[in-house]
This record gives sequence, C-alpha cells and structure tokens, in this order.
Amino acid sequence: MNPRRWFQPWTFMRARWAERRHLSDNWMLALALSTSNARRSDRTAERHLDACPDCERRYGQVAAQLDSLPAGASANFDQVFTPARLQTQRARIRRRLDMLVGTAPPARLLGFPFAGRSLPRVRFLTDRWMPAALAAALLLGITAGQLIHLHPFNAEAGRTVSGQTDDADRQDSSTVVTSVASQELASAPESSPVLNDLDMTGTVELPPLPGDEAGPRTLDTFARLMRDDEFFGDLDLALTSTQVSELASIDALTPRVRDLTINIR
Amino acid sequence: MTTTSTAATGDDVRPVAVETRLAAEVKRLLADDQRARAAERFGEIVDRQQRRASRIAYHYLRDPAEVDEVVQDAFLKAFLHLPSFREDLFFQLWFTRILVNACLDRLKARTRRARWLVQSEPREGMADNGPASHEPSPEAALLATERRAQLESAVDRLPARQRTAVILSHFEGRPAREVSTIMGLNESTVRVHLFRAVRKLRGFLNREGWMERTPLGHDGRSQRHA
Repeated sequence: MNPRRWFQPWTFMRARWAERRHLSDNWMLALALSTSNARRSDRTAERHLDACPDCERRYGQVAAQLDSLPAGASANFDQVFTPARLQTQRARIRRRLDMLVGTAPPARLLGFPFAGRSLPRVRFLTDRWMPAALAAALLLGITAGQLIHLHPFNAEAGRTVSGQTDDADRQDSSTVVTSVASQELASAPESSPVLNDLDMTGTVELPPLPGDEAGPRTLDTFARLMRDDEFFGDLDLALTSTQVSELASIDALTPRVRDLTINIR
Repeated sequence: MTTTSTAATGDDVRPVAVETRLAAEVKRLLADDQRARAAERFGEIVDRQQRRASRIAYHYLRDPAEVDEVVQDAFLKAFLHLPSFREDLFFQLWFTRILVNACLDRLKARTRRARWLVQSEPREGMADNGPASHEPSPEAALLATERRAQLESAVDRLPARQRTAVILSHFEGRPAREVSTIMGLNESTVRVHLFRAVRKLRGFLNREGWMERTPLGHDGRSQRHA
C-alpha cells in the first residue's frame, strides 16, 4: 500500500470514521471466524474494539457463542463412543480387511432353524423312489386312458333297448346320444335292417340288402342310405340341441321336433 | 514420499507425515502383492485415524450404528483405492474426503427413506437420548440435552457444503486450506461457506433462545484470531 495515501485528507477521514462506527454482528462474526480476506478491515475493527467497550462486550458474547458450538456438537461423543466401542469397531475393520485380503476364513453359515447344527440329509433312496413312483403312476394313467378310448364300454341303456336284435349288439355306440338315436331307429316306422346298423358317429356298416345279398350295391342303394344318414344326422342334431338352454326359444318354434323328442323319451 | 515440509499446518506436521508415510508403504506392499502385510500396516492407520473419523461422522449422522458402518466402509474403501492414492497429498485429507462423501451419501439415503417410512423411535445411544455431560442435576441435564438437540437440529438444516465447512473448520478445527482440499473448493469459497453457515446457525439458535442461555464471562479479546 502506498503510504502517501494515508496522508491524503479524504482517506484519513474515512478511516477515522470507520473506526468510530460500531461493528455489525456480521462483521464481528467474520472477525471471530477469521473468514474475512480484508486485513485492513480487520485492523479497523480491532482498533474500534480497543476503543469501544460496548462493541468489545458484544464481541465477547459472539466469541463465547462460537466457542460453545463445537463443545455442544461433540458433547455426547465421548459418552457414546467409549474406548470399548472404538475397540470393537477397530476389530471389525481389521477383520473385514483380513477377509478382503483372504487371510481370514470365510464366514460360517448357520442352518436355520438349527443354529450351529447341520440339517439331517434326506436319504438317497427316498429321493429316487418318489419321482419314480410319480412317473409310474402317470404312465399307468395315460395307458388306462388310451385303453378306455380304444375300447369304450357299451352303455347299458342302449343295450337294453336295442338288445332285441343281434345286430344292435354289434353297434359301436360310444355315446349316450348314439344310444338314443338307436332307440329312435328301433321305433321308427320306416325302420329297416339298414337303419338298425347305422352309427350316428358317422360310421356306416352296410348289411346285405334283401335280394342283393351277394351282389354289389347299386347307386340307388347308396343314395337312399345317404338320405337316411342325412335324416338321422339332422335328427341327432335336433336331439342334442334341446340340451342347450339358449336354443330353447328356437325349439319352441319347432313343435314337431319337440314332439319327437318327447315320444322318444 | 511425503515429507514434513509439505505439511499444511505447522501443528499437524508430524501425524500427517506419519500417516502419509504409512499409506505410501501400504501402497508399495499392495503393488508387490503382499496383501496380508499391507492389511496389517493399514491397521496402524486405522488406529490413528479411527477416533477422528468417528467424530466427524458423528457430527453428520448422530446415529452411532450408522457411524460405525460409515467409518468401517470408509476405511475399507480407502484400502481398496490406495493404489490410486497420490503420495504428494496428505492421507488424512484424502481419507477425510472419502469419509465426508460417505456421510453425505448416507444422509441422502436417509432423506429418501424418510419420505416413505414413518419416523421411528430414536435408537439407543443416539444423541437425543444420551445423558448430558458433566451436569449433576436433572434440570441441568435436561437443559443440556435440549440445547444439544437444538444445535444438532440447526446443523442439520444447513446445506451440505456449509455443513461440511462448519464441521471440518469450526467443530474439528481444521484450517481453511485443509478444508478447501477436502471439499475440492477454493479457500476463499470455504471461508464464505463457513461464514454463511455460522451466521445461519446463529440465526436458528437465536430464534430458539439458544444463544441467550450460553454462559458468558470470558474475555472476548482473547478469542480473536490472529
């Protein structure tokens, strides 16, 4: 700093005025914390503190408050972090360091809920027989299902109604609907040996017609059979559709079919 | 190799140099793949720095269990990253930076948890439940506990940088140059943060009547810094 500036009247007066002015709280705070970068303002404040008892007292209060902050902040530390606790913490750090570098054995896993005792091992045979039994049961179930599908039982109802003839015993009626259809066939006015052999599942076994036991069947015969098949197919559809409640209103419009069903029952 | 001539402050020359020398030795051992020996030598650094690290973390977290975890993690992180440690820096400053960052991360996580979880009862040994120090009567103990809670609450309300500045510089008594190295800021900026932090603290505490109850009676002139 140029010393000649202090001899200039204005600078001198301004410095004297600054020294006479009371210090603000922030100025005192900065002075107490020594956070101010302006050395000159610090010197001015110190000169004022030397001359002003009021500001000196206020500065003492600020400094006391600042001193009480660290003490208050760490008052509880020594009681919480006792030497024993710090020793435990140090031991944990060292153990983790040893585990990190691989000099400590790995942590032992405890079985739950038997702490410190290993769980008994499940026997090998049990392990093996359980899935084997399950697989055998599954295989038997699949085989039985296939056998039932290939050789379905003959319904008793169908057998009693159509059992009057030997031809009916040869029927392959796998469903109840087929049995009912056979009943209808038996009671139909235009029943014929051909009709008795019809299968509602679609399979038609053609018996020899009268007068044509040995010869080939004509196209007329096939046409008649197909018409009959078509008729019985429609009949089967009508019979089965009565079981659907949503079609009850439509069934009410077709009295002939309903009458037929009632008669059959 | 760090020598005493590179120390930041005159009164902390010796301990800083010892820890930096130890850290350099551990770094060499790790480079030579002598990990067990390195861990053993690092344990000496832990012995020297543990108490100070716990105190700094306690200023931030106020929960002894969390302080334990953060200090352990910080030491392990320092050990793992020692190969990248620059020997021209002080180990204490380098480690304090790791610790402070860990504390701030923990505080952020705690804030996130607080948004979703209901506040539970304070744990045993936390600052709010701790007995007052050197206070014989129950009234004085209660008053000290209340004052401490108010101060901790005021510190917790500070922004992160101001809190770090006031903890390291004012509570821990570290010089502004060290704090600026730890925080990665300019020294003048650290001073500004410190000033603002203390001014805010006084504002908070004056509002709660904390300052009026502070015992006075010592010479303010003697507290002035040179």
